[in-house]
Amino acid sequence: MSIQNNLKNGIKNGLSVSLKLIKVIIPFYIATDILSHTQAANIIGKALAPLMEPLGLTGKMAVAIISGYLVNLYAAIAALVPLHPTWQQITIVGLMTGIAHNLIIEGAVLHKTGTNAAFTITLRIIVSIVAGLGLNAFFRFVYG
Amino acid sequence: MVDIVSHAVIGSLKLSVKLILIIVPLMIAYEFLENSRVFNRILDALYILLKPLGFSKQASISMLTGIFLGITYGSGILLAQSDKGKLTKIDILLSAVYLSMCHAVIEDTLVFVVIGGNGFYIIITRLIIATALTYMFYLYFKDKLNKA
Repeated sequence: MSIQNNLKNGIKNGLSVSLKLIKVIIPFYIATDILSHTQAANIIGKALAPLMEPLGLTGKMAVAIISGYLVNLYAAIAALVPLHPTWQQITIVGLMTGIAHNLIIEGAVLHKTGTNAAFTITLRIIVSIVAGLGLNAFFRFVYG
Repeated sequence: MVDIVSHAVIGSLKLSVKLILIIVPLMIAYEFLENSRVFNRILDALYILLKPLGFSKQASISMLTGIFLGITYGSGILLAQSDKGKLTKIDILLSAVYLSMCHAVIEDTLVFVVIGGNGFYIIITRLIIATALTYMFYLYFKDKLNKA
């Protein structure tokens, strides 16, 4: 009985999370993959490259970080995968967007428990950038 | 152009399938864990770790949910508890700081591992940052917010 219930609830929750994720992944992935083949992406990428360099990322990967900040991790993943990242780059984006993602909605949720939204959002963005810089420095030190 | 579009569509579908195959078993495992006796022991163990950071025992329940399942679930329980008056102001502040840095760590990290990232570095860095930052807030605010 309980085993069946656990299985049933687990599958139900798993599928509902997966559904949420697919809804974001598919459009973002397709958009990024197609965009990355256009001239506009190259221009944006080149413009942002100096900012992304200390993070060990390419200019185009800024899109993944921003998608993560505003939407969620699935959007970041969807924007990142078509750009053929290295495992270090995936890990850095994973860390940064893990700390700071879905900022508007989660800020609102935390606000309800009595913590100022502007405070948590600012804190998360700053910490995510510092963490990204630190992890990249660490990777360069250890893996060259 | 057709090539580029079909490449994008196939790539996105492949990624989606990969993620479903990881996430469904994970949620099943969590369901078994949550309904097992071990769950309470994990809660006790977590409290031992959280107490030095200034958390009350009540807070560790929402912390556990938040760390594993995410802000939305964690805050739901946090909200319910703070409405019941079970949490102190410092509990709420520290929970918000900790959970801002470190929540849904298993699920979030796994999705990046699925695409080739290193999960160990992601989790360990987030735990260190969350713990250090929460402790700093605790030291700074422990005398400023009520301890009742």
